[in-house]
Amino acid sequence: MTDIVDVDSPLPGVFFRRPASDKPPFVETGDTVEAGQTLGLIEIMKQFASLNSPVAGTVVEILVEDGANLDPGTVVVKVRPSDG
Amino acid sequence: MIEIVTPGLSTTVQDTRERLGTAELGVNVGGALDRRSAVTANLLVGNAPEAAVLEAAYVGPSFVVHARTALAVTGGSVDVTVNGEPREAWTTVELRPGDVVGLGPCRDAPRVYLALRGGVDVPVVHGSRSTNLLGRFGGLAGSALTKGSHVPLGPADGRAVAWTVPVEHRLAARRRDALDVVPVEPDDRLTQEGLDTFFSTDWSVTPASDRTGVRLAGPALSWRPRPQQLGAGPDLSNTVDGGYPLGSIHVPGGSGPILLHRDGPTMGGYAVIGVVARADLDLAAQNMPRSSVRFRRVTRPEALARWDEYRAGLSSLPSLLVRA
Repeated sequence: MTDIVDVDSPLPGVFFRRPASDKPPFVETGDTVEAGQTLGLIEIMKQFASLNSPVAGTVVEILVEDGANLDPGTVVVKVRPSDG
Repeated sequence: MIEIVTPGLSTTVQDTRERLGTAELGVNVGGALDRRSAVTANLLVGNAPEAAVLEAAYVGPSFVVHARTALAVTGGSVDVTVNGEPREAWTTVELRPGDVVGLGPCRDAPRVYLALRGGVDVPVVHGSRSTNLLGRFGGLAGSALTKGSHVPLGPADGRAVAWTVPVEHRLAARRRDALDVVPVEPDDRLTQEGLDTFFSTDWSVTPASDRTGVRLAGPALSWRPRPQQLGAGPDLSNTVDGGYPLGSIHVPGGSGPILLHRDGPTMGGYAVIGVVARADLDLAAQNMPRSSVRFRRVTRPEALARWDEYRAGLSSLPSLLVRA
């Protein structure tokens, strides 16, 4: 079985799980994601950067709450890569 | 010329010339927020101190080199690679056509500076090559760099001398416990308690901070009651519109002080409660979000003495470089 991948934030800022307050979250635990898929947004300098999954797989854990502060290196999401 | 592959979050052309005498047009001084790091980067590649450099916020760019040049990266700590091989920051790095340079995320300060031999060769507008993002002039078409941007470099004599900056003269060693602030005179806007709170609080830098200003979070400050002045807004933090000196601190609504930096507004209707000593503006721009900032009350002569020290420090930079 492939090791779980920690997706960490390269940026400080505020983490958002959804594209807008009235929209559903980008991902939920258990969702299947593609490599490069957006997992959330990081607000910094009044602009938004997207946090993308580096691998295709399954979201096993979301460790940061919507609206919480991030430091560089904070692990935000854990993804179990799909086989192959 | 270099060609940008990934621009980073916000990478702009900046120099240290300042736009002076343009405030009446609403044009701020602009320029590298951490001047000493920018000047140091220039010296490492043999440029004049005021040559234009790239300033990157939080994440450095990656780029392809199209003509032989040299690079120096200063400011916050960041990983630098050339063709995937790690290279030292604060050190001259020779580059050849075809080299691919990559910078990672900033670890301990928001801004890194990239000087390239010859300097970034863009037109001087209002006395500076710096990018004015709000006015969309200066720099490369008045904008932050984007994927595919061609960054032109000026002529260089091609001398390949490799220098480095000893660790004790890099940004991390210049950190201070507090930023010096001269309160405005008369300091009759905040209550004594409000002033005491301002100077005794560990303010938290917020992620909304940018080239315009450093935004801080912390306790509300109390204001002396006063009648609304003719032409002023209704809040006690308002005043009749007036000029904002570089480094002004105002407190819209009484909480969340904003330290106006080089791309800040030149005037407005919030009362300025104090001005950060110019000698501390570099460091004011190099605090990561959520790090804490304290202010120390100083007199104007003390702030001016620190400015003299700062300028002497810049003048002595060439003697601090050692052969790599």
